[in-house]
Parts: sequence; C-alpha cells; structure tokens
Amino acid sequence: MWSNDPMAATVYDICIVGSGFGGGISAYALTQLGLKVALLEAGGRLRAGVDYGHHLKPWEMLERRLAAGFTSPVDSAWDLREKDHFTGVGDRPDHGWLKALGGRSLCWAGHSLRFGPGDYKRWPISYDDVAPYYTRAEKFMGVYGYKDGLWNMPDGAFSKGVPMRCAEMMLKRGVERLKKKGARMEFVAQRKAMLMERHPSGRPLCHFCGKCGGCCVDAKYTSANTPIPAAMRTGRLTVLTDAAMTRILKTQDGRLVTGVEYTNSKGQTERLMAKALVLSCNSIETPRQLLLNNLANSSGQVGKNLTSHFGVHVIGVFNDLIDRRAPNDEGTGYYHSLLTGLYWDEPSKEFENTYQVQCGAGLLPWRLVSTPRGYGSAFKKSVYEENAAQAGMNMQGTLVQSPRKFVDLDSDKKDRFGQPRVRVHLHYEDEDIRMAQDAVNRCEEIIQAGGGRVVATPGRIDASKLIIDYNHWVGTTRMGTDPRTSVVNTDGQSHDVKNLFVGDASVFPRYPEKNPTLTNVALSWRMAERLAEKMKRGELA
Amino acid sequence: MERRDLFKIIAATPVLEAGQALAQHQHASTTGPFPGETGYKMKFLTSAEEPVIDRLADIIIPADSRSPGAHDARVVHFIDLFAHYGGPAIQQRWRDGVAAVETESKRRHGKAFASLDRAAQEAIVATMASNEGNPGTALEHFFALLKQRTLDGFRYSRVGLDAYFGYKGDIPSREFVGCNHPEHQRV
Ligand SMILES: Cc1cc2nc3c(=O)[nH]c(=O)nc-3n(C[C@H](O)[C@H](O)[C@H](O)COP(=O)(O)OP(=O)(O)OC[C@H]3O[C@@H](n4cnc5c(N)ncnc54)[C@H](O)[C@@H]3O)c2cc1C
Ligand code: SF4
Repeated sequence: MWSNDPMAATVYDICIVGSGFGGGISAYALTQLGLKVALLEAGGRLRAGVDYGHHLKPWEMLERRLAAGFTSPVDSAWDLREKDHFTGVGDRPDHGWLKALGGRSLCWAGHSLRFGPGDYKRWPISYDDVAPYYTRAEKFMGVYGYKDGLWNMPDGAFSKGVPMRCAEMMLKRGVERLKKKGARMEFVAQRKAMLMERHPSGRPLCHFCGKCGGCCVDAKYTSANTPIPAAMRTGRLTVLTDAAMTRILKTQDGRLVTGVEYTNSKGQTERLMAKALVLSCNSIETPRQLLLNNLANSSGQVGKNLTSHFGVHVIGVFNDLIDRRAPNDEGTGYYHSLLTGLYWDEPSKEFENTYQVQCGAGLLPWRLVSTPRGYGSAFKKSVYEENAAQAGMNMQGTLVQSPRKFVDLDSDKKDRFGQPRVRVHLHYEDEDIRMAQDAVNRCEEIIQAGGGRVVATPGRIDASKLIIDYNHWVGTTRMGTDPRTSVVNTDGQSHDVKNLFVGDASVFPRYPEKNPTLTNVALSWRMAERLAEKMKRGELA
Repeated sequence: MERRDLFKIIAATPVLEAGQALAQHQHASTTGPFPGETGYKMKFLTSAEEPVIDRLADIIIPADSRSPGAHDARVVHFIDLFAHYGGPAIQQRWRDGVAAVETESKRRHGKAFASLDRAAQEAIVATMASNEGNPGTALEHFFALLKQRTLDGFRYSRVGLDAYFGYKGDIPSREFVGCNHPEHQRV
C-alpha cells in the first residue's frame, strides 16, 4: 500500500528529520522492516543534470556562472549550499549545509573508507559489531576499490577499482622508498561510492568526467538516488520536502517525544505525530535541535566533544613526467589515491590522533595547481608541463577533542524562524599544530623521495595556515554506555528519551582520520534496525 | 497540509550505459554567441581598451609551435566578462591598468600602445613583469591581474582547451586507464 499522504496516517511509526546520508538510509531500513515512516526535509528537490551537474563547455557556462557570483565555469551541487546560517567563534570555523532532498550526499566526493579495529578500540562498540553493516552499506551504495589487506582500513565488498594517475605512482614510489628505510605508512588507491559495474539501484555507470561535486547522471551514490526511491517503492514512506522542523513535541512529563512541528513552504506551521523520532539533521544541527528543545541532555554532553578533520596542502612536480601528453586525467575527481597507515601501530608522542593524506594528480584545466612565473612561450610551456606533472597532497587529520571545541546556541542571532542560530567554537590546540607540521614534513619528504620537487607548501605551521574540513564535524551527541557522560546508547537511542534516536555522525564518540560517511551510513542502518526491534517489542511506548 | 508539499519520487530509471546516460541528461538552455565566438558583443571594455588588452594577453600567451595563442582564443572576450561581472572595484582596476599602460607608452614613444610595434609593446610588458610576486608600481600590480585572467580565459576557451591542452576529459569514457607505464611503477 502507498502512503504518500500525511493526512492518511495520523500517527506514523517513525518520523525522520533530515534526508542526508543518515536520514536516507534510516528511511530505507525502517520501511524495509515494515514500518510507516515520514521523512521531513527542510530543502527541496534538486535534479542531477538539471539543477546542477551540467556538461556544457566552459565558454558556454562562464557567463551564467559569473552572473551568479562564481568564478569557475564548472558547477556543482555544493554551489547551492546555505550561507550565513551559523556563528563561528575562534579559528575560522565553518559549517557546510546543503538544504535539499539528499543533503550533502548530492555534493560529496564519494570517498568510502571503513574505520578499522584499531579505531574502534576507543568506542563502546567493536569493529565486529559494525562490520556486517559496512558490507551491506558498500554493496548498497556501490563502492569501488582494490583489496589492499590493511588491518586498520579493512577491505570491503568492492566493485572493480579505479587506478592511480602517473604522478600518484611517483608518490607511491616515494612512500615505498621511505618504507625501505623503516617508515611505517601505506599508499593505496581510493575507494569511492561510484558505479563501476551494474547495480541493483539502476543508477548508470560512471563515465569518468570528474565533476563529482554534483554527478550529472547519478552514478555517484546519494540519498536521493538510492535509499529514498527504494523506500518509496515499499509504499510505506512519506517524504515532505521544504518542511523545516521547528519544534519537537513531547509528552507532558517530557519522557517521550510525540512528533514534530514544522514550517511548510508557505510558512505555515504543521504538526506530524509519530511513535518515535530519528534526528538526522547533521552533526551541527542535530545538537542544536536538542539544545533548542531542551531535550536528551541530562549528561550535559549535547554539543560537546566536537571534532572534525583539518589539514594543509602540499604540491609536488615530477620532472620525469613533464613530457607526458595528458588528454584525460579527470577520472572520478581529483583524489585517486591515499597515504594512510600512519601511527596505526605506534601512536605519535607528539599528538593523540593521526592523519591520512588524500592525493591527486593530473592535468585538469579547471584546477591548475601551478602558475609558474613569467610570460610568453616559456610560461606557456611550463603551465602545461608543471600541471601535467603535478601531484597534490591534502592532509586530513583528526582534531583533538578539547573543551574549546563545541557547539552551543547564539542568543543574539536568530534564524528565519526566530530561533537562536548555532555557534561553532573552534580553537586549535598545540597538538593540532604539531600534527599538521608532521604531515607537511612527511609530504615534502615523500615528494622528494619519489623524485619530485615541492612547488607549494605551507612550510612552518601556525594556526592561521590550517584549513578546517567544515563538512566532517562529528561527536556532538556521542554514544556511550554511561548516561552521565554520553547522549545516546550504543544503539543510537537517547539515554533520557527512549523513543528518540540519532541517525547521523554526531554519535561518533571518537574520530579516526578516515572520512565519516561510510560509517555514518553503517551506524544509521544499525540504529534503524535496533529501533525497529525495540518498537516491535513494545519498548518505546 | 498542502498536497503540493508532498513529493513523490519516480522509481529509479533503468540501467543506462555511461555514454547513453550522459547523452540523455538534460542540458540547460544556452544562448550564444559565447566568448571566443564571432559575434560576441563587448560588455565592459571600450573599443579603445579592447585592442590593448587583446595584445597584452597575446604577449603573455603567444601563438607558437605548441598551439595558437590568446589572440586566436579571443581571450579579450573572457577578460571582458570577468571585468563586467567583477563589480566596480575590479572594473576600476582594469580601467586604471589600461590607462597606466597608455601613460607608459606615451612616455616612452609618444604614442598609443596599439600603434607601437610588437617589440616595443613587449618591452613594456617586460617592465610590468619585472617584480612578479612582489609588485610595487601600478603597472606591476596590473600585470598580476592581467596574467591571471589571461590564463583563465585561455584555459576556458575552445582554443586553449582543444589545441593547447588537448583536453578529452569531458568526453564520456567507459574506462579510466590511469598510469600504465611500467617505468613509473618501479620503486
Ligand atoms: C563537497 C563535499 C565533499 C565531501 N566528500 C566526502 C567524502 O568523500 N567522504 C565522506 O565520507 N564525506 C564527505 N563529505 C561529508 C559528508 O557529505 C557529510 O559528512 C554528510 O553529508 C553528513 O551526513 P548527514 O546526513 O549527517 O548530514 P547532511 O548531509 O547535512 O544532511 C542533513 C539533512 O538534514 C536537513 N535538516 C537539517 N535540519 C533540519 C530541520 N530542522 N528540518 C528538516 N530538515 C533538516 C538538511 O537540510 C539536510 O538535508 C563531503 C561533503 C561535501 C560538502
Ligand atoms: S566521474 Fe562518475 S561519479 Fe563523478 S560526476 Fe562523472 S559520472 Fe558522476
């Protein structure tokens, strides 16, 4: 039976708020298990190849892009993101929010890496608890990759891998040479959620255009192109777009949630009642909603333990490659390779966490990384040669969690519904700076060991040179077994309000160097199954 | 509750091969003439400024054995667009920059830049480029802007993309070849 009219069902089994990675997979898992689900999304629908992801020539695109305030002729779903929706405090924090059906899954780069057994040592659940969900998630999303046999970034259910480019092989050469001298690290090809083989979702195969910030044909996994359509086909999912939740409704004693209030596209307030609520608003908006509604915070930990990835870039040029003709380096986006395995076996004495380095290469006219000095024919020659022979190394390290990194409410600035905006507090610690310095030194060493020369480097690091990854925030509703020190339990269920669940990366209690999304999807899937079991056993009423 | 607020998703489309899918996806409507094409109408640069920028750009990226240059690519059209949409402050930098070049030309040769022979024009560009990375004079500051936008216009032009870069990246492929050179793979 189809259930696309909210009026038809006065009380849903579940209301999910947010249709990004966490919300999309939760909707899929819960409807597969027979539950009636309403999915609320603040944004509208954006269509691949129509609203973003145009394959026009740059000279055809340029004027309309300049007129819209952009300088690049290549468009991406990310261009449509929210601006000025939060208050940053400290070292230039930022926050990414794409308000649309699918959230930031529309514009993500697809990197899909498992966290490993070593990473889960500091979690209240183990790698083995999550491993089956990783396998399912990889199959469902369509992740490609090679089997690398790395203990702390385990192989998964991959479709066929995508190879590295020439300059990335030079970096690998540098890594292998340094390993012979005792360095402990690995250099492998990337793993991404883009279709290399036919897939049950019916998404088309990737055609290697490299414009993955908004895949024009939906070859890249998004919540909007895979789990949400599949959930719709069960007839048990109602999707409400342009519906921003503005309040969480509770029972009088505050022990249970009963539904939500939201504002529709006409600015009218509506109510939606449900037996359980899943928040998948993202790691900044989910804690904001809990704080606004004074909910699930007996531990005082909502908004705390904030962490993300941060980094710096180093670029090298390899003289061995300057003569190469490079007609098509696009591939599946810039990064085809990864430096990893750093400090897995023996932690650094200088910093608590570790980093990985996403590496890319190639002659990409949209993304010239090197503009040599001079002009005339010599300049023209070196623009080609240096860019054909360049490799870029982008550090992605984990910020140390500290009391100076957190999320709270801004009592001065309000959003369009008159509610306090969120404040994001970021202050780099010395430890963060030491990690970035270690990464810069290592990248320079690898480039040189591979036979290259460093053409761009931040050199000596201070906080002003660090770049925050504003799409990788996690930790703000951390999971744990002790209700005094954590917000949700190991099933993603609030310790305080038993029919309230969190399905996004804010539940991560610790953060390795790896990208968050595959784990977000795996954990949200796991959460959804636990929720369904508890509901069927009558434990949520 | 407005029914319009509800959104129904169309069931997933059948499997398409890569090229097919690309061919089928809807292209946004386009209207030419585009920069680089005959019939492009200048939006910002005056008829006196246009030949000056055209020549300056062509000295920065000249035609040579590798490929045609900035003049052939009509980089001046691209610079016109960058300036037009750049807002008043950027527009003023272009206007002042051309004026500074004209002043220098009059000072050295007593005539307009466009009427100098190419060698004399190149000598002025050499002066403009003399402190790249650490500009001091108005001419040196203008060189930085001019060079960046010349390169941008060139790499976004048909001539730049096809003849200079030999770019094939926007042609759908079934396979990504990657590095297939054994010599690159030896440690
Ligand atoms: C350019 C880019 C590249 C990236 N690349 C990678 C990568 O390669 N690998 C990786 O692992 N990660 C990547 N990420 C990060 C990844 O996209 C995010 O970590 C992820 O999207 C978080 O998922 P989420 O579901 O928690 O949040 P989101 O994707 O932000 O989704 C949350 C949704 O909730 C909605 N919402 C919020 N509040 C409300 C409300 N009150 N009412 C109704 N709806 C609401 C939002 O509109 C949004 O649609 C990238 C991100 C970007 C932007
Ligand atoms: S490279 Fe593949 S995944 Fe990326 S935008 Fe192109 S078709 Fe989509």
